[in-house]
Amino acid sequence: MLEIRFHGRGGQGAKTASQLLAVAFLDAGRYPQAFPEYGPERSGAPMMAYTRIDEQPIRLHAAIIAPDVVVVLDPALIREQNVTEGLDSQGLLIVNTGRSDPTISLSDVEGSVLMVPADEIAQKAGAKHANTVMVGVLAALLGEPSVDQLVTAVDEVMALLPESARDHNRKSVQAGYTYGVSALRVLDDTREERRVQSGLQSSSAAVAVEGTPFARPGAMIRPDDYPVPLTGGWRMGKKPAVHLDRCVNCLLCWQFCPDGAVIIQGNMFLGFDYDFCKGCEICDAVCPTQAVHMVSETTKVGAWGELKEVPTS
Amino acid sequence: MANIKEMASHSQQNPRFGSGHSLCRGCGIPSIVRTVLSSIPGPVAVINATSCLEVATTRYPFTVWKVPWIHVAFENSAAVASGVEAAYHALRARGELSEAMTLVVFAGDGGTYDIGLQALSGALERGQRFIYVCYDNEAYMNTGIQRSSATPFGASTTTSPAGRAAMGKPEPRKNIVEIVASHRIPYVAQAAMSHWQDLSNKVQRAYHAEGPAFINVLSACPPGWGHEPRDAVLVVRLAVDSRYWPLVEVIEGRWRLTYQPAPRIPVVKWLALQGRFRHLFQAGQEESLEKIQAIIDDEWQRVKKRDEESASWFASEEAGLWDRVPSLPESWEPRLGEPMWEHFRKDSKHSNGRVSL
Ligand SMILES: Cc1ncc(C[n+]2csc(CCOP(=O)(O)OP(=O)(O)O)c2C)c(N)n1
Ligand code: SF4
Ligand code: SF4
Ligand code: SF4
Ligand SMILES: [Mg+2]
Repeated sequence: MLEIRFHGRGGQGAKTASQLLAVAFLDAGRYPQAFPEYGPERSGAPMMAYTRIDEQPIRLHAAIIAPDVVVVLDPALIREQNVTEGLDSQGLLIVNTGRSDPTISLSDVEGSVLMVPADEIAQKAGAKHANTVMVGVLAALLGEPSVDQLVTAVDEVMALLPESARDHNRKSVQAGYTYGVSALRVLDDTREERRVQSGLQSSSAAVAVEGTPFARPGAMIRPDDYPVPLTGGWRMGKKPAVHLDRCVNCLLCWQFCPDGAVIIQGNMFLGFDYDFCKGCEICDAVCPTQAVHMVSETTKVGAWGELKEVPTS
Repeated sequence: MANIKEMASHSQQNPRFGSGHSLCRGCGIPSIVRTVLSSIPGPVAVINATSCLEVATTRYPFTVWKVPWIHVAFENSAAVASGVEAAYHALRARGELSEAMTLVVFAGDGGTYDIGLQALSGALERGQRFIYVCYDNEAYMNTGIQRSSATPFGASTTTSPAGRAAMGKPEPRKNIVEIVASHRIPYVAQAAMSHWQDLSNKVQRAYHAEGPAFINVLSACPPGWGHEPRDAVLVVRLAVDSRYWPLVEVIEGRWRLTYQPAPRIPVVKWLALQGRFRHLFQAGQEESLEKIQAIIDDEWQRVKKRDEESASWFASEEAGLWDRVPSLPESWEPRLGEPMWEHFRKDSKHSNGRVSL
């Protein structure tokens, strides 16, 4: 049995990817199974989806805890979840370098690792999400299902989408497949090093991949027993920043921020907590003096998002 | 009444609801929860019905609640609150609990208007003492946007979809404030997430109520209503300013408007911001738009009339009692067998540490 675990965020299409792969495998004459596992189903929240493939009917219906392959649709998840949990030295980890974060380290991974610039590939194909690219890559690495079977599966799984969206996804699954075929050569050549990279410098740094702390089953949970999950990874490329000269300490941004990501002290506004800010832009919308600006994630800002100059745009 | 700075310092001294939850980007619920909890002096315990709020704040083994919190099921939060109240009295009687505390229920519209209604009605009729806060996002959002009896006429949801056969939900919404007010409990109100000062004032009056208090608060739900997360506050504010969502309170059976929107804004302004009403802007849907405006005008007239009828009472000294600065009740005993606001009156004359006339 082949077990594949997809890690994504609600809205990134991990569930669709798991189904697409299963449908294509069905076409290839296998017995597939696919289902998602959500915590709260929210766009942006970490979630998992599973695909199992076998030559006989699958009786097992549990979550996949010892996967053969792990597919990560968003590299920022590596900070939030133990994505490699249960993956052994025979395993394969495929990561979308997407909105890549150079501080993410995969140096502890035992199996093979392939980094795929899937956002870029999807964008070229006109697709909204990287999920179908990643399925294409995976199929190429596995040698099955064929690209034709994948394309047919796109039509079936995305039957309710407009034809243009299906077309983009057919293209992105094909582009992913092509990428996978070329990566396979490199992967074979470097089997010894067990590592293929493209784009992301995975050895460069410092963040260890840590597991979720194990809870006492059934016990009462006190507020500080476990560190709460960071939700800063939910942002979609923009963060709030503040021009403090303009701030009149009205605290409206604090009042309406859903994520408690506005830092105040006494009655003073101090700035933003990027560990938790989900980038909803409410602070920008409610600020009466336009002290808040949404800036690109890569814009350099001072402590807690202080802007020295007001952006002109 | 607590202003924003007081709430800010309250929530820094007594953090009650933290960060790290997985409610959506731009969700309206957290602002309601923080405003409610930072308007209540003294210890608080929270009872939570199954909903977005419950699911997204307590992903095992994490919790963002910094107060005692309990969840049992979708349909029974008012019954659970009744049990917690009984436990509270038992612990007090045994001397195991020295402090008085306030019980706050948070439930969604599904958990309040629909499946939780009989548990709520039972607890209200028994005079159970808690502040019940329904955050109303006008559908079952946690399970993927199904219509509830709070969903307004014309809104498209996955179970009242707009298409060839129908133009969104064919039925108008239920008036939960009238239903709850019919239980003759001391305090009932309707508030909105955008109007935090009004909400905070109402929570403080609810805190005074010696018996059940109920507040229905309009939230915002970007994915369910189909608007940008950044517009969450604007959308709720327009619901109030277009008179779709009157801010009212019902004290001892008397209704009043707590906010007068002016000038009049046509409801289409509010509708047009939301994807769930998009189909109503197709050619041929003018009648639906007119019907929505008519429902609102009719409702507004009714509220207005009640407001005028009770104006003299609200000017009285008796009504003024509800605007005291709250202090923590020293004793909080269950009282059986009398209409609840009689208790309130009696207390106000006796001065049990809470009220001095
Ligand atoms: C008895 C029962 N039926 C159905 C469900 C599934 N369920 C969980 S939350 C929910 C919807 C909650 O809607 P609402 O109360 O409006 O809260 P919201 O999700 O909108 O915050 C449903 C149907 C359940 N948990 N229990
Ligand atoms: S964008 Fe602003 S309002 Fe939204 S989560 Fe971040 S700090 Fe809070
Ligand atoms: S809303 Fe604007 S002015 Fe008000 S505290 Fe926030 S940044 Fe300052
Ligand atoms: S679905 Fe709506 S109510 Fe639920 S968390 Fe998301 S925004 Fe909030
Ligand atoms: Mg709801």
